[in-house]
Amino acid sequence: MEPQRHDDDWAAIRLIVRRYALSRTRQPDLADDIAQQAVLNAIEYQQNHIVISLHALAFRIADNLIKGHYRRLKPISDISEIDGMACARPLPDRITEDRAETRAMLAALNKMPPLRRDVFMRRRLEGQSCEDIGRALNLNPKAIEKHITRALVDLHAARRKWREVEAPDKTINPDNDRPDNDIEEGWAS
Amino acid sequence: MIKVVNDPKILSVEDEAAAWVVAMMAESVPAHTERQFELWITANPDHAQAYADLSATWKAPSVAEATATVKRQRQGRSHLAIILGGAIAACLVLGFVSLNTKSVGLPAFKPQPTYSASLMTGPGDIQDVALPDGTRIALSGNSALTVQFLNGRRQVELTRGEAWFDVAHDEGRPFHVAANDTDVKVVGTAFNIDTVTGDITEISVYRGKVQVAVGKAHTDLTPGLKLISHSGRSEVTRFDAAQTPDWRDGWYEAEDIELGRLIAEVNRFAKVPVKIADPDLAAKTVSGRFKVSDPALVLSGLKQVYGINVQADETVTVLTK
Repeated sequence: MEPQRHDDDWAAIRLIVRRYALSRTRQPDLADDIAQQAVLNAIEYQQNHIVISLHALAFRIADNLIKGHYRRLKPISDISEIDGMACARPLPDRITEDRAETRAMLAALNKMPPLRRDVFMRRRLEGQSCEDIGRALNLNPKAIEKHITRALVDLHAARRKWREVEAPDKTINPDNDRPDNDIEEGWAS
Repeated sequence: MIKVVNDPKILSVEDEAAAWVVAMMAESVPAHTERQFELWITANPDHAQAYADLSATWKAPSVAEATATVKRQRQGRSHLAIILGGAIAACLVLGFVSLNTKSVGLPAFKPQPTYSASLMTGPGDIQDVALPDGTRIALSGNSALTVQFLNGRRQVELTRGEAWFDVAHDEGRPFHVAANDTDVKVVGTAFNIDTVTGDITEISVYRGKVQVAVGKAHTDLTPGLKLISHSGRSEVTRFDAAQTPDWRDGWYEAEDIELGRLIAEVNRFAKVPVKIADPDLAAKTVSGRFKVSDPALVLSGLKQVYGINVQADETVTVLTK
């Protein structure tokens, strides 16, 4: 692994982490901050550690930053903070929209073959490893991975479809605040 | 890296991305998997976008809530419903599995009547590979082998390094491993083979039975027996077959072995090759349990315990007295 990365590589990683953070938080400014911070932290980290996948590292850091962000948000004990955080709290129609998306995910889960749904729930909800699930169901871990993969593809298709039909004008497309329409097609295809 | 010919039409980018999301969130991701992931995600901007989107769906609060809802609904049902559900599930499972043998996943070997593959590992990279007949091979670092399945014969050639085999029983197709000047014939067994140098080969049997041919001499090995072949002569010793080979966990157990031998093991893991400056030092014997997967640790140990000098630069590490 070369010790110094090209600036282009970091720029590409920042863009993709931003896309991920935006899709998760739906807040463009927050996504910018997270992407920038994730890249800075990754650059610092790889100076002292051997890193095989910079992408994997950057995504992991972004996950932690997002988790930290929401953890900080939860307990609002100080009234004076509320004003400054107003933009970060869900708006009423955002909540309704989230409920509708949950219903779409529920429908997708209920449409799955039972084994696929069962395996997915063990991994996603209960956090069991593929090896544990394989032992419990007498299947090999690779087969378990495939079931989870299929379930994720199903849910993703349902989530994308729901967003196209139900909420086309909402700020949920990671790219609709940028003029780059090619990427938008990638999201919709 | 393992080269696999895969029909690109079978997997869409989204399917591949989903498979990577699932693979990369495992508790521990093997180094070679992470390396393949980085190659895949940098190969095409579409890959990176799909990975970002599928990762976001995995983490989506709506998905978390939906799974929790399904669980609550299920717990509310009667036992009878669960039993019936189970029976229906079992039927659907059978249908599902038979329909999905070619479904998504990471590129995988496909069963074929004849089959060939070349496997190669870099320093520090251990590969676990399943062959289409059910045989498993673990290839140690800095090692290489080729596999060929022909009619009536499964042939492996270990061209460099060390490998561990757990061979699927198939009387109609004997399994042969060639390394240096030895040929190992297997029926169904687990064994380790180490090409220490170009003229030394060690074969250790963990289960079953193998027949080793060195030149015209044939030796049968049963579990717990190790054959060391050195320039055409062979010697059989005992070892503890209850333990899998140490290298599979990155350890090497040395009992009065030559430093050169230990450094050969270290070089299977070292990113910067380690050389021994003079033959006298290479012939010096050392003992101990060495974590050869961590070359820096081994070298600092040798320095402290045996007073061996370690000079490291960017391209080579040299050991002197």
